[in-house]
Amino acid sequence: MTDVRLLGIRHHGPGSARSVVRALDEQQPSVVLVELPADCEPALRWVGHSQLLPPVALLGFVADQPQRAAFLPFAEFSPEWQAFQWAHAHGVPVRAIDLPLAHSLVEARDDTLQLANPPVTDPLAALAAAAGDPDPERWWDDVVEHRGDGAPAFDAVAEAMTAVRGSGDAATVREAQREAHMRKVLRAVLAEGHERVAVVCGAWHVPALQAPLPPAKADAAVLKGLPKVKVGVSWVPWTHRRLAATTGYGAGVQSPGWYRHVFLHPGPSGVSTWFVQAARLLRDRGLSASPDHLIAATRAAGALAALRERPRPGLAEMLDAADAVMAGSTGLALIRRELVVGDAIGDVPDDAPQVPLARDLAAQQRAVRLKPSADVQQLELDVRKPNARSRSVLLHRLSALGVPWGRLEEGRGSSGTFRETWSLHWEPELTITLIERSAHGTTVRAAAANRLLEQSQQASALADLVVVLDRALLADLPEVVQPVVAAVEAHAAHDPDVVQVIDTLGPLARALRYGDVRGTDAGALRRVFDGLVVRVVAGTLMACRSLAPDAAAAMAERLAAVQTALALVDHGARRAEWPAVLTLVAERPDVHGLVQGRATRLLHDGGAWNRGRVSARVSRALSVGTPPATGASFVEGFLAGSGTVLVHDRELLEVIDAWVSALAPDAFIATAPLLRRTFGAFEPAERRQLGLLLDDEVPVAVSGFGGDLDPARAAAALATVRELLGVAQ
Amino acid sequence: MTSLPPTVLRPHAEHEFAHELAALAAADTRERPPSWRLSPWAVVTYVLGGQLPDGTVITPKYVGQRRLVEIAVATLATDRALLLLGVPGTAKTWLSEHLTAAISGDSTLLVQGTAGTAEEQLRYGWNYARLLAEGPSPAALVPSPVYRAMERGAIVRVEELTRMASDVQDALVTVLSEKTLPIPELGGEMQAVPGFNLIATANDRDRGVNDLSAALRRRFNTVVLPLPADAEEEVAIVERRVAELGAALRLPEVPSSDLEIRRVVTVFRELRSGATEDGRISLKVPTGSLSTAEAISVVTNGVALAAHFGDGRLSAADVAAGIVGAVVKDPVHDAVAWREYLEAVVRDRPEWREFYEACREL
Repeated sequence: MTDVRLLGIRHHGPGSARSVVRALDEQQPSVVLVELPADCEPALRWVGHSQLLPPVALLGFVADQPQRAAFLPFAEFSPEWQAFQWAHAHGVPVRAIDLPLAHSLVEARDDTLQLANPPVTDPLAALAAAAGDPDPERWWDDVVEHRGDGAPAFDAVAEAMTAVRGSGDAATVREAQREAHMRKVLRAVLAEGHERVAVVCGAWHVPALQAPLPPAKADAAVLKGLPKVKVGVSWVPWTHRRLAATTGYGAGVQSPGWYRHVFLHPGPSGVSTWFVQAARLLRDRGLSASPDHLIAATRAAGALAALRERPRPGLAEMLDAADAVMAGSTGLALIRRELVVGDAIGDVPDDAPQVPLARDLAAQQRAVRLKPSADVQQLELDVRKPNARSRSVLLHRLSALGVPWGRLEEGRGSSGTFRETWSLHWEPELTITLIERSAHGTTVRAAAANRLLEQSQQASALADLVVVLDRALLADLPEVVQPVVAAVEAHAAHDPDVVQVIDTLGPLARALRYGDVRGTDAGALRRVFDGLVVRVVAGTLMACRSLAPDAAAAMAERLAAVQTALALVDHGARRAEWPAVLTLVAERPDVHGLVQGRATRLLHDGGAWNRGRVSARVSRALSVGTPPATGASFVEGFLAGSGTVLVHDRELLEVIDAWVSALAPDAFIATAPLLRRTFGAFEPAERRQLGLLLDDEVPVAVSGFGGDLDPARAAAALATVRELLGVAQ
Repeated sequence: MTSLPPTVLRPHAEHEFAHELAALAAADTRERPPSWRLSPWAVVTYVLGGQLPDGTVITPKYVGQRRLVEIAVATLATDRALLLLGVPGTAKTWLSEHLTAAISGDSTLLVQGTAGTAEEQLRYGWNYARLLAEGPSPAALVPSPVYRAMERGAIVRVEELTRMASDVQDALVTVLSEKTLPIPELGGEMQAVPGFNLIATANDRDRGVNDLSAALRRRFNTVVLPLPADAEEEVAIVERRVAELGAALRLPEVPSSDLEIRRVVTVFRELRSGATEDGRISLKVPTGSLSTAEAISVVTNGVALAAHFGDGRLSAADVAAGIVGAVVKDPVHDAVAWREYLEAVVRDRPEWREFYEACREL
C-alpha cells in the first residue's frame, strides 16, 4: 500500500512551511517531491552546505543568453526550503518535478527577469469569496498561514482546491505541460518502489496530482516534442527586500519580515513578541518606546482583530495598532522597513557554479579587448573613438555596479571632457562582489541599471541623486536617466532650500553638455533643468536675504555657479529672468554686501547692466549712507578675486579710489583688513598695473602677466584665438 | 437616553438617528463592552452605514476609510483614550459626536477647548454660595462633563484639545492613566465606572496651538483623519456648502460657477499634495492647511465680491485674492511656493489664462 501525501502549499507561506515540516515528521516519507523545475535538481546537492543561507534564489538561465533567466527565491519560511532541509536532515532524496527550465525558458519574454512561480491568487480569490472575505490574502492567512495544523489543513486545502478547479482541467497550455510533467515524475517515483511519498506543491496543483492518475500516455503526448534550450542553474544570494514585491522582480511577498516572524513565533505570544522587537528596534535608533506603548499596542491589535472577526491579529492589525499608538513617530517607517520587510541577506557557497553576470562580464571584456589583471594598469581613453567609448562605458557600468575594476584618475576624469584616465586593477574580492551583485541582473548593463535605480530610490538628498544621474549618463544607461531625472525633480520640489537646488544646477548643466558630447538623449534632462531654473529664479531672492558672512560668501559663489550653468547650456533665462533676479538681489537693502557685490558683478559680466549703471551702483554702495564694512564686503564680492575689471574700467577704479581716499581714519582702520583680503588676492601684475593707473601713468602695453613678450610665440597662440573667436586674419 | 426635546435648530446625533440606534441595538447579538449600548461591530456599522437583517437601512455618517473607524472603535473598547487628528474640515467633531452617540447614547458630555478653558472645566468647580455657607461638601461641588462621564461610565468629548493651555491639558493625565479624579478638598476621589473613556479632537496643522505633552500624548491612541480622497467629492462638498452659506448670509443669487469652484479645489488639492493632478510636476507644500473648509470660504468670499462689487458673475479675479490669501500664510516659504506654482503650473494652462493674470496683478 503506497502512501502518497499531497501537501498543497502557498509559496512563501509561513504557516504552510510549518505544516509541511509537521506533515513530513508524521509521515516519514522515503522520498520528497517538490514543485521545482526538474533541471534544478542537481543544484540541490548544495543544500545543507554551511554557507548556503536563506534567503537565496535558484537562478536558471539560457546558457548563451544569460539575460533570459528565471529566479526561484527561497526564504527561511518557504515551505519548499523547509522540505529541502527536512530531507537533508533525514537523508531522504528530493526530486524536482516541475517542467524543466530547458522548456519553459524557450519562449522569448519581454520581462527578462521573471518569477518561476508567481503566487497563485485567483483560486484563492474564489475560495475567499465563497467564505465571504473580499481579501483573498487575508483569508488564506487566517485559515492556513496563522495556524499550521499539519495534516488536516492539507486535506482541507486539497478539498477546497478540488471544488474550485471543478473538472480539474489546467487553465493554460503551459500549466497542462507542467502538471503532466509532475505526474510523469510521480509515476516514475512510484515505479521505483517508494512506499511513502510526500509531494510539496502549490495548492492549485493538488487536484491534478490526486489518485487515480490519468493514463501516462496522455501526459506523454502533452510533453512530446517540446522545444528545448540549454540552461545553467546556480545559487545566488537573495534579500528580503528583493522578496518584497515592492522592489521590482521579487516573489510577490510583501512582508517577508513579518512572515519570518510568524514562522518563528507561532501562536498568540507572537503578537507581543513582535511589538517587543519593534520597541527594541526603536530604542536602538534612539526613539522612545515604553512598555506602556507595548501594552497599548498589543491590546489595540487584539481589539482590532476581534472587531474584524479574525482569529488572531494579522499584519494589518499590527500596523494599524502601531499607527494608532505611535502616531506621528518617525519610527513607523523604520518598523515597516526593518520588521515588515527586513534586511536579511542570504549567502551562497564560494564554490557554487558561476553566475551569468560573471559570464556576461567575461564576454564584454572580450568584446572591448580588456583583460582583467591583478597588476595595476593605466589606460588613456579618448571617448570620441568608438572602441574607447565602449571601454569607458563598461568601466563606468562596473563602477555603478559597485565592482570598481577601474578607478578614474583624480582631476582628469570629471564630466565635460572627452579624455579619461583609468587605473585598472582586478582584485580577487571583485569576483565575490560580482556574485553578490548578480541578484541585480544577469548582464552588466541590466545589473548596473537596477543598482542605480535602487540607489536613486534610497537617496535622501539631492546631491546623492545628482551623483547617480552623473553615473547613469557616464555608463550610458538611458533607462535609468529618465526615472532619476524624475526623482531629482520631485526632490527639488520638496526641498525647501533653494541652495540645494542651485547646487544641482551645475552638475545637471554639465550632464546636459556631456549628454550632447556623447550623443545621449537629453530631452528629459533639459525639461527638468528648465523646471529647476524656474525654482531657482523664484527662490533665489529669499535665499539671499539676511545671511551671515560665511553663508553670504557661499551664496555669492552659488550665484556665480548659476550664471555659469545657464551659460553652459545657453539657457533662455540667462537673458531675461536671471538678470531680473540679480537686479533685485543687488538692489535690496537686506542682502549682505558680499552677495550684492557679486550680483552686481554678474550683471556687469553678463552685459545686463551697462557701465553707467554698474558704476552708479558701486558708488552707491560706497557712498556715505552705507556703513564702511558693508561697502568693503561689496567691493570684495564685486571684484571676486580679480582686479581685471578695474584695469579696464577707469570710471569704476575712480569710484573705488575716491571711496578709499574719503574714508575717515577710524573707518579706514576698520575696513583695512577686508580691503587687504580683497586686493591681496589679485595677481601681482594686476596690482602693479592698478598702482600705475592710480599714479596717472598710462601703463605700457605690457599687460598680461609676464614682462617679456615673445612676438613669434604669441603669434602662434593668436592664430588659435582667432580661430576660436571666428575672427578673420 | 435623554428625552426628545421640542424642535431645535440642530438635534443631537442620538436624537436624529434614534431609530437607527434602536434598530442596531435590537439586531446586535455580539458582546458589548461594559456600559456600551452597542457592540463595537454595531458602532462601526452605525458610523459607516449598512443594512440590517430586518431591512433597516443605516445611513453612512462618515465617508472614508473603514480601517480608521475600526481603529477608533477598537481603541475605545480597550479603555485607552482616542485622539482624532486632522486639518479643519476633516469631520473630526462629526465623527466624535457619532461615536459617542452610538457608544453611550449621549453626545452632550462635551468640553470645548479654547485658550481660556480652565482646569475647573475639566475637573470640577464649586458652587461658591454653598461653599461659603457650608464649607466643602459633595453638594457644593459642580461636576464637569469629564466628572459626570466618569460617574456614569460614559464617553466624554474634548474638542480642540490643543487650543487649551498646556497645563490645563495635563489635568487629563491622571484621569486617563489612573481613571480617578482626586478631590483633595473633600479628602476623596472620583473613581471612573467601567465604560468611561474620552475622545479628543485636535488640529495638527494650524498655527497657535499648544502641542500635547509627551506624557499626555502617550495616553492616547491617535487616528489621523485624511482629507477627501478625490476632487469630485471635494467639489461636491464645496458646492453644497457654498449654496447653503449663500442662502444663510442672504447673498444675492450668483450663478454658481462650476469652473471657478473646480479651479479653487484643484489649486488647493495640488498644493496640499505637493504634485499636480496629472502627477507630472511636483510642488512645494505651503504651510497653511488648505482644507476643504478654507476652499469653501474662498468661494463664498468670491461670491460676495461678485455680488456686491462685480458683475454678478463669479470670475477668476473674484477668487484670486482669496486663494492667494489662503495659500500664503508664511510670507517667506509660502510666497516662494506660490510663485513657483503660478509660474510652473498655472501659466502653462491655456484655459487658466484669466486666472493667471488676475493672480499676477495682486
